Amino acid sequence: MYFKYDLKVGFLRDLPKLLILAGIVLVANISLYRYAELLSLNLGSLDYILYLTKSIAPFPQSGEEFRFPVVWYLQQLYLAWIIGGYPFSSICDSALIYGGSRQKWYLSKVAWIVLTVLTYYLVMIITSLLFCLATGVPISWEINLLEPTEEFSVVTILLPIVTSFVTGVFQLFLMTLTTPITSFFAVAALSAASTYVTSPLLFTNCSQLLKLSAFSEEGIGTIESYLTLAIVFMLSLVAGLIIFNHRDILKDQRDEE
Amino acid sequence: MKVALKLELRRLFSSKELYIALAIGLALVVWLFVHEVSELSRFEEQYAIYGDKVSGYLYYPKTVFNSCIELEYDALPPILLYLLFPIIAAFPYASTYCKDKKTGYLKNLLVRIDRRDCSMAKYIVSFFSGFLVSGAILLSSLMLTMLLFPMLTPEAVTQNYYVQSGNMWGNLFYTMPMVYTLLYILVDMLWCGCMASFTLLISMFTRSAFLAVTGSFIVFEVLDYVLSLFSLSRFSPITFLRPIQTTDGISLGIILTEFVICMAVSFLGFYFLEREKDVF
Amino acid sequence: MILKLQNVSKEIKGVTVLDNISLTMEGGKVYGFQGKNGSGKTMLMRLICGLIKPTIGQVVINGEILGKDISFPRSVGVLIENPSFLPEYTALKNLRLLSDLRDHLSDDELKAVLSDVGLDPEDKRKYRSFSLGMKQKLGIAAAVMGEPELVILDEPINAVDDAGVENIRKILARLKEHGSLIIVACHDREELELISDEILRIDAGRIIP
Repeated sequence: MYFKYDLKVGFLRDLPKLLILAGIVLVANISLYRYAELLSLNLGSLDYILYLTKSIAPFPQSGEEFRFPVVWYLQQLYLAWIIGGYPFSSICDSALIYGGSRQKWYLSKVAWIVLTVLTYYLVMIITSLLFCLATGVPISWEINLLEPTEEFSVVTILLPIVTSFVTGVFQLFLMTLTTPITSFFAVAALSAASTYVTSPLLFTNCSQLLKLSAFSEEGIGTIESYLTLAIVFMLSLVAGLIIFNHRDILKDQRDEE
Repeated sequence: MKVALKLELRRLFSSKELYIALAIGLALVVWLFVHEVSELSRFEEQYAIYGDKVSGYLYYPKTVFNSCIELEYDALPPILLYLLFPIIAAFPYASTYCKDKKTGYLKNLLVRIDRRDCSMAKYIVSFFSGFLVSGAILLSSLMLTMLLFPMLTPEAVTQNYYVQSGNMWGNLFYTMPMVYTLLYILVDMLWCGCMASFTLLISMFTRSAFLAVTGSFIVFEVLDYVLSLFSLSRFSPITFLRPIQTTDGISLGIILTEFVICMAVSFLGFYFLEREKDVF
Repeated sequence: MILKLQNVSKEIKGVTVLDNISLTMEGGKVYGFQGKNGSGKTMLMRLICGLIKPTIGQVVINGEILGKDISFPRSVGVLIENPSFLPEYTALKNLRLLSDLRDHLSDDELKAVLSDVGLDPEDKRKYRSFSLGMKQKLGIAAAVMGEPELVILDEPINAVDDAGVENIRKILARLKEHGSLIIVACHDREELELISDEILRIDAGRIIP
């Protein structure tokens, strides 16, 4: 019930925003392409995809200078912006009441977040693949840009997607407590902090590939990451459901935002 | 015009968003201050044990000019502050135009005040809100560090300072550091005012306060990203707002030119184009 | 349809907005809520449709406790305060979106509802360009479509023309015949007496006998 509504009003309406994302990804791909040409690197399509989420190595443990990972941060920020712009904008009395259930409304928003995150990454992947096809970059699934360690496995590559989903659910939980602007700000601050501090407690670290032990000796373990994300997800979901269930809706939320 | 300005200023100072933005900024300031003081006390302990040669290096105390939020590089609070400045600047006031449109309050204003005065007052107060919030945060940090840290003239040879002599006003930093700091704070305040005004431009296209406030933040971040990919970071406001310049080639000319362009675009758009629009 | 309020009180930020209200209402009747501004009519309506929870007491609809057994009444149509729809859609599309949540009405049925309230079903204009009266009519259409068992209307004749008021009376009469429980708040005492079977006076959050 609610999901169909969210699909039409939220998801389909937000599709044009993903075009902007494609533009951002394209610019990143061009930059990597030029970099690879300059240094004569042999990169494949998977490298172009992973480049978007690689971020930077743990600071200061890796001994490298701190350079803010703009590519990673921007795609996290943009996703948080898309997620912040819809859920509570759709609370008008009728839409909430006619669906019959606050829990279902909330869970429908979680489902909408899943769909949005998956589409978001799909757009990133497809744009990168199309770029590779257009520029003659080989379509290969070998990793040359990063150096996988012994701990690398396929499930590690899925971490950015899972982390984005969990961050979205966390943002939704924050929206039940405060406002969409505040929740966006909190996620922006959390993501920024996690570029500087490597810790599973700042769970957005788990979407930065170079912060994982699969790619850095000083990184966070894959199992540790999934465990942290599972805990954050469960807490956010349960707390959000409880708070929303008891929340008094005194006026149309659209008046607020 | 006076009436409109008075009204908007009253709204600004009675809005909770202003105090929330200040609280966030001051929280970052205090966080950094605590971090710096704890580092200072650690150094004092080391100095008591090892004397002048602490950990093999010549002991040089932390000063105001590498401990305040503007000039500290190696800590999280300044990174957060400068990254989130566009949203902190826009949050207090710039979204009120969206809210006025949505709630219909704009109609209440326009039947009582000349539309030109209304638009001008909105623009001025938006600029002022960003200017004020950023100034309050940055000056608080400077003054707080001045309470406990010495104001020693920076010595480049100590490698304790992050401003390079090749940076904009680099020589000024090593000769008159307070002047450097205050000038940069002024630049930041002007630019934060500009970012808040830019939010008004975005408000023309949406009734959602969320989209207006976060939209300007996204625009500046995207701009920073695109410019960095083409090695043109010196043109990005997010980059040149930091007194610790991480890229070469930043100049006052670039900063002022971009400031004038951004202000002109936002002013012309909001004052002239929005004025012609129907109000529903 | 039986709606019971059992010793319901609501406090918001230390202020008692509803004070120990006990009521039983039955389907097939129109109940008018009358009271001055700020007396608690709208709060009571919000409570009945589940948007706010009582601090003390409970609301029972057909034996089910609101907020415990059900989040919202199972079959309800509401128009509380300002009508609220998506500005970039037409009237028909807005109704269709809401209908898909519960009633799953066909396009013909939705168009019939729009005609009943005096709106043109083929109107391609977006909601954002509607007049206040048109918005109000659309709000009523959304509240009555699918002939819900419980209908809550807050100031339904606000900004509505004479023809529209007549249409609303006809719709309410039809719903009443159908067995719906209708709650209407209105400042126009004459109108309220005309359409209501029972008038409840509310003052300072209490029902005045």
